[in-house]
Amino acid sequence: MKGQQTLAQLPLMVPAVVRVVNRDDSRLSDLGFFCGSYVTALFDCPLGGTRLYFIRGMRLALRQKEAEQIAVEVVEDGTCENSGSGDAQYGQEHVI
Amino acid sequence: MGPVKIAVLGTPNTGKSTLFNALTGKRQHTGNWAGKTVGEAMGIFRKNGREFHLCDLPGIYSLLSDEAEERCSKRYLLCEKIDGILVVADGTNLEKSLPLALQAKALCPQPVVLCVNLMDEAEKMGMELDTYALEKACKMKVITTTATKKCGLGALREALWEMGSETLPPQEKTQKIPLPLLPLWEGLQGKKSPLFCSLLLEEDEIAWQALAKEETDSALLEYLYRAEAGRIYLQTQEKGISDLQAERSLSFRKQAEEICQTVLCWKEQGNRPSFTEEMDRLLLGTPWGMAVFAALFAFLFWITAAGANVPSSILSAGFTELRGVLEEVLLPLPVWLRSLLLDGIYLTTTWVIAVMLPPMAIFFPLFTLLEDFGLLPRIAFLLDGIFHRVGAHGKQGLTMCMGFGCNAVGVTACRIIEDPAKRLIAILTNTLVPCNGRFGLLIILCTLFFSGGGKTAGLWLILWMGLAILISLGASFFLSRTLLSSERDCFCMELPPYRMPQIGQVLLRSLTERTIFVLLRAVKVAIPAGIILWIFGRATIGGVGLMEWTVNLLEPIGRFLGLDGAILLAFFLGFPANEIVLPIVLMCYCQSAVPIPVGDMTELAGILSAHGWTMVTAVCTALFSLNHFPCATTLTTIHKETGSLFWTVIAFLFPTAIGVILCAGVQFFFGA
Repeated sequence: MKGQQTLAQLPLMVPAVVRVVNRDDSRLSDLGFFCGSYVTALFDCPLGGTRLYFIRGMRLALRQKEAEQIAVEVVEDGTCENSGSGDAQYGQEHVI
Repeated sequence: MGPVKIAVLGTPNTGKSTLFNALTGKRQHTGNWAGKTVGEAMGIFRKNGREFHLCDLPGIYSLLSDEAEERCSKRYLLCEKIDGILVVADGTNLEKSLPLALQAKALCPQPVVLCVNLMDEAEKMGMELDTYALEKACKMKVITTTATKKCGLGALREALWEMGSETLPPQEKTQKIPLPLLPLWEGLQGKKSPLFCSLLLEEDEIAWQALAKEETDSALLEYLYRAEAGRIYLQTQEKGISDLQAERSLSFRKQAEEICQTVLCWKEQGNRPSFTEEMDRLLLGTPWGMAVFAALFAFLFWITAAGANVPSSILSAGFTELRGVLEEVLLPLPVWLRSLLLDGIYLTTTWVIAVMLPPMAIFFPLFTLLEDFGLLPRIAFLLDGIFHRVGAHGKQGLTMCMGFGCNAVGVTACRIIEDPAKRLIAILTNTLVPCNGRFGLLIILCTLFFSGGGKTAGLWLILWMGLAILISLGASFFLSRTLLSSERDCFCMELPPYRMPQIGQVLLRSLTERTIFVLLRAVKVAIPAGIILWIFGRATIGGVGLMEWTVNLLEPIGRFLGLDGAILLAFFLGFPANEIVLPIVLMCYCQSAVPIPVGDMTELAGILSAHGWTMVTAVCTALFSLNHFPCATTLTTIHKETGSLFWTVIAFLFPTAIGVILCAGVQFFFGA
């Protein structure tokens, strides 16, 4: 297992799993960011500051300020189970 | 039996509005992105002799967090008398939608019907849904539909009818109640659900309001004590209310996840990337995306400007014909009244229609097609890099683009921005980009003055548009740092998959909702404006025409701004519609009683230079055209959207102040 990093630092197209969400309200967890969710950063916004993530079957744009509140851990081979998000593509990418 | 009232809930991008329209035949505006519906829309359908009143609530992810739209839905569910709830879920991502259905079920005593929509897309993705198992797991009726193809609507109506005839099921008494909730739960004696009690415990304003409606003051006081007891218990456990909230929200997500694992089955699809992924890789993953979108919008503006000329001239020719007929019909009236009706009201109104209708009838259907296809949220994503730097929301890029079509529509579109402060920034800066009505003047100025011969007029126009965008961004920055600074700033936007637009419906809706809507408002202000214009053209003060008198009065102010009295007066009289600014300038110059249509360019150049127009005049006129008070239609729209006189006045003064500063600056440094 690699160490934890914030979602804002996660490199593109590297599947990771959410570990901690440091936020008082439930806004982020309502969107699917809670411990155990699989997340992949898809694209950077051309001028920075915002990124597009794939989480639980959704393409979700999030600013770095929010992404910094989420700690993730990069998924390594064989350490993860099915993400359960049931999407045809990205779901399968990190199902081994 | 009275009508059955049903609240329609759903997560964004589930085709909720499409389903609502298909059920009720009402034309609610739909679009392929989150946050399209704001406020409630009512629709009615009949089944077996009973009337069903459906209320479409804004798309939300959860009933439990404290965002504006969520509060709006929560208030409706708790405070209105409803007979049932219809939750629309996304078939392609049931796990996203299910928590909302579970929350509605847990919060309200009313029966819930779950409608799994977008089944065609879901089946294409290889999803198989065990409807029976889902029904059992959620303890609610489940119907699958494809609203765009009108599949499953009959079954849905049937299910709603059954729900309407049911009596309320008794609350389950055997649930395990968490300890902090126990005092409240016992006090309420099972009248409310545990989730409702938990909202009370968190001092949720709406839940207390709902309770206050039903209970006496003394009972309410008792509940307040019981809630306090629960909170004190929480403190002894060293837990805060936010822990409780987070746990609760999570429990619904977890429950949804478990249910989905049992009721869903995915067929292997192979590793062929979907259309949405391919498109996104191209548009969002490479620098080409920006170029493609820029080209797309350039094309949209070009086709609007180029394509509107012919229908505009046909319309005005038609109105001239009709005028001949009207003249004969109105013959018995006194001369002055006939002149007021024809030269005043009729002339201005038909003018506004002839210049406004064709560009809007071209721009909005095309824009709506892009919207339906799913491109707009992607543009918002790409532009967010710019907008977040000036303290605004990425979606402001979209409302700004719509402002290029019509500021009134752009202002209405600002509803998609959830944060009130950011929405106000978008509303106040929207009029700083030129709408269709101001393009005409800018094009003429570019052709006659800036480009010299007219070869590079297009390039100059683009430069002016760029300047308008820069000013708008600067104004956003200024507002976000001064009047409208907000600490709360959560930008989360879901990008839906690309969807094939429903072309027929798009054309119909954009015409009826945007074009006709704006046109009606414009006509409403054109009528009094026509009367004022008529009076200005004819009345005299001490032997001098009222028009000339006012022009002389405004002359020093106009000169200070690098304009002249006539131009300034034209901007005031052009308040109902900016299209008529230049015709009024010509009306002043030529001492005419009616506005003069812009005809031949060389002739126009002659008239303007004869009245002392220089390059500075042209620059100042262009600047003032970009930055002055919004037109009457936009201003009434702003008043309606903000619901506040204060912000309407600010919306009037703010762009005007920018225009005055810029024009006075140009005149000061470059004027003769």
